[in-house]
Amino acid sequence: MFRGLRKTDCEKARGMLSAYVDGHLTSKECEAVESHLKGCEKCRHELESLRATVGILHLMPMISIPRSFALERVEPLRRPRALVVLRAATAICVVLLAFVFISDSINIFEQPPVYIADESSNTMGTFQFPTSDLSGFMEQMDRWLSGSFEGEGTTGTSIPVRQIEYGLLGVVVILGGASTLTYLRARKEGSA
Amino acid sequence: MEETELIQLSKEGDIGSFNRLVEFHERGVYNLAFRMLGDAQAAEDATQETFISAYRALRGFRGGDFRAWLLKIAANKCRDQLRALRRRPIASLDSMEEDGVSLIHAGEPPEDYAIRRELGREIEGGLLSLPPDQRLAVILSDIQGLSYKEIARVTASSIGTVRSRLSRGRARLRDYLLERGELSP
Ligand SMILES: [Zn+2]
Repeated sequence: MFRGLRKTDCEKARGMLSAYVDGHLTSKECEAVESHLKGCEKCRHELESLRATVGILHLMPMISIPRSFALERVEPLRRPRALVVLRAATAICVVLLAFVFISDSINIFEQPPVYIADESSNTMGTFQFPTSDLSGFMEQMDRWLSGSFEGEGTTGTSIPVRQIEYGLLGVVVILGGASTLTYLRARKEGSA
Repeated sequence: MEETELIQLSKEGDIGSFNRLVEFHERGVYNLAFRMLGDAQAAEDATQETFISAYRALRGFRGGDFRAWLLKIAANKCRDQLRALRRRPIASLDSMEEDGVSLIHAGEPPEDYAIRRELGREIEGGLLSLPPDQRLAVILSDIQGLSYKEIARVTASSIGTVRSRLSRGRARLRDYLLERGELSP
């Protein structure tokens, strides 16, 4: 029982000897270590050898440098070419996607604007997009989300808008992911 | 000129001022790299890369301890070099002298030099046998003379971590030296 406790005391004390040598113990810890050292020859030896080791390290000479490390000129840190290309491609695809999506939602791929001769207003007619209002847009979103877009309403369309949108979305995701990865890797290498 | 002034001029792109800073710190950085890596060529590469990175990252330096900031970059470069070194065999410490590394002190009796040179090699070997985190803490503290606080800054860790790394590193180095009869038990 006593032995076990004593061993733990020694281990505790030894764990603190290094900081004790540097004067980095709290006064309480310091007292505990010192009172243990008084009664434990082994730990006193431990302290001596630790002090000797630190003393030897202090004697290690500074090595002279093999050459000057002055810089002649430093190239500004350039972004890797791949990153520039990927970013540009991603941007172009995002713009294309936005263009296609917005055009699609106001139906310019579907029917041309219809000139409606309004009989109640006797002279002037008005141009109307068939589904140019917000409800039309929402309707279209609903159909788009439910995936049943290839039904009525697109009958006049020969452009596969849906496929283009999905395709572009896929390309944006892939390019965006790739440029993010490239950026992160470049940052990891470039930063200190 | 003061260091802060040189740093400011360097931030504005004046490489001459930056090279004054290099002159002032290159020995410390090279020594850290050499003790960490035990390989003159790798230490040279790590040192050069440290200053190139430092010059590029200087805008991010917001005042404070410039040496600690520089040594932090150096420690990272050493980690990169260690990874590269692991892929090829570690250079023998016998090549130290050939690499232009001189341990001799002026006016020292030759026999003292011989003993110290032998001891120096044992310490080199002992340091290299430590895990890199402990090795870095021991080098910064006991060879470069940094405080716990400075080491914590360089290694981006807490004072408590520094304390325990130093404790384990020194104890391990002591055991290494005892085994080789370099310390009287
Ligand atoms: Zn004890």
